[in-house]
Amino acid sequence: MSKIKSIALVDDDEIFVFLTKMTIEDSNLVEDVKVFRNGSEVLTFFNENLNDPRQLPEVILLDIFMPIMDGWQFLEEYLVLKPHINKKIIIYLVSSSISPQDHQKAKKINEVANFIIKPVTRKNLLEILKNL
Amino acid sequence: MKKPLKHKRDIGMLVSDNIEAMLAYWDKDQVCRFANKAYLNWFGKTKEDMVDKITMKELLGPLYIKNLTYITSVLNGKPQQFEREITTPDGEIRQALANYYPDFEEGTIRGFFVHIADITRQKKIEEQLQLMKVLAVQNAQLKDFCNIISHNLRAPLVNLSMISDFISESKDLDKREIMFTKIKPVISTLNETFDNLIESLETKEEIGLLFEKNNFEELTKKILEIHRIEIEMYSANIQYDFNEAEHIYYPKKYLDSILSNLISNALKYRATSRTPSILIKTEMKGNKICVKVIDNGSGIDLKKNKQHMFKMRKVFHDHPDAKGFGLFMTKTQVDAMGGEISVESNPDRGSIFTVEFNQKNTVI
Repeated sequence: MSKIKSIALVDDDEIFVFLTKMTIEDSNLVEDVKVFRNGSEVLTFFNENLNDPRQLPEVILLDIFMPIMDGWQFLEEYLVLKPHINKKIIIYLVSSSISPQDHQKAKKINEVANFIIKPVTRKNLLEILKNL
Repeated sequence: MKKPLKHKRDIGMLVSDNIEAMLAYWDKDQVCRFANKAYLNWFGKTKEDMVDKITMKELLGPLYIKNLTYITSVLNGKPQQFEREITTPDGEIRQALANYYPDFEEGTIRGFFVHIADITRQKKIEEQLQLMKVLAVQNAQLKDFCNIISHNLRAPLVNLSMISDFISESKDLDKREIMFTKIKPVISTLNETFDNLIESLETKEEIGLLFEKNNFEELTKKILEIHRIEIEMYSANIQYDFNEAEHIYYPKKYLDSILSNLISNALKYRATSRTPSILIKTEMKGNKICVKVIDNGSGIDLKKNKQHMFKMRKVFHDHPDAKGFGLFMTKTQVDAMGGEISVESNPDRGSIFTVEFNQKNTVI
């Protein structure tokens, strides 16, 4: 069975990260999970590994509300970086927000494949795998 | 062929009796020497009752005391303008804008001219504008509030629901054990968010608060004493200057909370590479009292974060104690009393937080 090679989980909520990581590992659908606490951390990681696309994740699960650099700010920076990234990366915006404004905003950004309302379930992961 | 102009005096009477504005002339002994039709109608008097007969005191009755300073000042040569609420003889309440102009003749004051405009309608419009402003602010607050609930309360609930699912679906005892330990911190966060929300709601509701006279220096000294250990540990250099405004009329617990939070932040977000230096001072901006807390700490990148300032759970520094509630509460408390809070800052160059209090808080 094919798997998602690597997922980057970008979220500052430690408990959510713990629980979601466990969900991902239990699903047996993902080989590697990397965790980042906010947009700034994952951006740094990207900058450090531009020349080694194998290190970069296939899928990003991006939270919206994070300190220092939130989801929206990260997406802005990512767009600037994108031309230099030699890899197809699919981004999912993940949030406990059910605000329609946030959903609308996400729809307008091409890089965002979809909006997942927390929690991230095995079903979500199967969908993500299918869309790769 | 044009009709000859009426005598100059008659034209003057004609015009003045046919305009809405109220015009009158009072001599230096405060006897009425002229009143146009509108003026007479306003006071419900005839020309015979007023002109060359009535004194200001007789006409105004209890209102005379209120106008006396203006009358005295114009008789000393200074033009006066003031607003006054007047009850007309039919019992209607109207708003008036009164102007007194001194009548100089060869260096002496002979009397003064009075022009009163009925600004009742303008005042009503002004009031409605004010109401709309308040409603707009409340609307924005409600929107903010809804966003907060939609996210900040839902997030821990999502975690609890995931934990619950793991416990019920897992047969691994160790795993279940770990899950049980994760419950407490989530509930703690939920409680804290909830308490902060309720507190901020109560703040908005508490309009009938007790206003007390607060001495800035006393309050600041108390706050600094509470932070004494921190101050000594960092060798912080703290100064204050309340010369421009020593006191303020304000609900004590809010002022305490506002100053505490600003000072506490200045210490918390100090730059680790240098000795913290903090200045707390009051300034007068027109007749409004302002408090400034100036520090040389780590600063904030306002270009990136301006729209997130003062919002709940927005944190800009990777500091273990940064929870994102402090400035939100401070702003709520400042806003509730009709004040404004603002910040100037640069990364690694420190910050200046300014609270501008509503002018009603000025101590006379």
